[in-house]
Amino acid sequence: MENYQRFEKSAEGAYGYKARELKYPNRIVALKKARFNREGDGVPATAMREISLLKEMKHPNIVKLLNIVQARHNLYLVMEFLDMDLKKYIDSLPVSEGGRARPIPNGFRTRLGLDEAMVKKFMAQLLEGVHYCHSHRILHRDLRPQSLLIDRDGTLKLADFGLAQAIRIPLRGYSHQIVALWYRSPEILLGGPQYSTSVDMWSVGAIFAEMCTRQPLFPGDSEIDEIFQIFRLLGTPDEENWPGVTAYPDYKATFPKWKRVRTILVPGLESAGCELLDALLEYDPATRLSAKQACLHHYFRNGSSYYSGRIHPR
Amino acid sequence: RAKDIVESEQTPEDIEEELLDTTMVAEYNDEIFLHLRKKEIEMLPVPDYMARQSELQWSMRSVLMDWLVQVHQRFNLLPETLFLTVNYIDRFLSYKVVSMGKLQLVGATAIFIAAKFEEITAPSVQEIVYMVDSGYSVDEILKAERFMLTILDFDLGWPGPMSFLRRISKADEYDLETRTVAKYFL
Repeated sequence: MENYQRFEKSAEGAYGYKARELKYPNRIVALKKARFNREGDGVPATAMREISLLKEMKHPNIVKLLNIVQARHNLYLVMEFLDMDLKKYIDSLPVSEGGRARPIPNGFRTRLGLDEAMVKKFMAQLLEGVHYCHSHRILHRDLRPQSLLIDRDGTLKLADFGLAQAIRIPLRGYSHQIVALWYRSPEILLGGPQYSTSVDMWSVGAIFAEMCTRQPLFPGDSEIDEIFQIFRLLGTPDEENWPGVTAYPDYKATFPKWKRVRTILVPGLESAGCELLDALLEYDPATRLSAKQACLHHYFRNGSSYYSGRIHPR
Repeated sequence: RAKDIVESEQTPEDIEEELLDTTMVAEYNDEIFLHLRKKEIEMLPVPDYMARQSELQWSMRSVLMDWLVQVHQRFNLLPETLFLTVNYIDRFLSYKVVSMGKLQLVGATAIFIAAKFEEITAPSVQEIVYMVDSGYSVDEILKAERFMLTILDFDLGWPGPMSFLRRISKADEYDLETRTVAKYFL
């Protein structure tokens, strides 16, 4: 750790401590700490998976792991430094734009805002990052605004791979202790024994709506409240729009039968955007839009890479 | 190529069915298997590492493996976990000369790491100590864990043979007998 100098605590980034490399003082990094568990189980499984999976991934929309440092009691992940996460970014918007006017870090030269073009750019970057994960057999399993980092040039990167898993093909059952409640897909909420890449896509849909409205789409306070918030907005699923739903372990025949009332979930969003959102919030995991398909969706009229900034850097 | 032949013989229904089969993540199959094959090669151990070990011999590796299969069975772990364990041991021994007395520690540590990486719930370090009949202490295993992770450079996502077998037996329309025999060979 002697190679790194930590900034004062107030300068915490979105991702652990902000620090400076002593050999290269211009290089600012983030240090994410994982504690060794002495009596218990040594190196935490979450840290092991995060490191090993991050090392496999090289993509402009996935946070870079630069180094690993083992100190006496802690393990540090040295990552590229990004100032903000998407949650803080939304909160920093002026009240007139639906934010809470929270202060932004000094590094941000100008406010980039979150108008339609910016939402589209973030969506393109998010989807390309998720597509990369999925085509490398990695499920993120914890997509939420806090796990998406934003740099000062307005580039979005996926972070927080502590819950990620390298899936085996074909899939088998995996843990259900995943994904923050508000971004958790209905098949997990209903106790489905298997899940797949589509769990991440549901989260992407919920994040998409939140970027547009600045409000979480399904802010449930318990699992059952979460399920009912989803059902109230999208209608209670049935065998017609989700074949097999009634066989899920936690599906109850006594669930209230809500009908979908609002056809447009995000007022003001262009119609192609509404279609994309609906396709991401599709109940049936087998027909829910994949990241690969979403990148080709006509919401991105010129292809997602045009908006993500890969082809035409601004 | 085999792939072209298979594709030319697919009916639209086959393709449709494959796309709906989410448990095969059909859409990403090509990319995923390309990536897995690359990882498979990157994470190969050195084939003749035993020549560079002063105290160890291949026969000792067999004894270690027999013991690990028992541990693996005892904890009811997934087959993938055992394959990972073997890969971690062979890669570790490719880079480090180990004394005879420490070989079991290498094995115990490898299965401890593999289970944490692969399983939903992994055996605790105390359970591992129990399995080595207290031949090593909790502290020794935890130290060994950190050392092994450093030597392996935290590259833990070895694909292993199971994914490839499943892919092939799917292409083979799941001939149960072939599949069982193949599993036995693995």
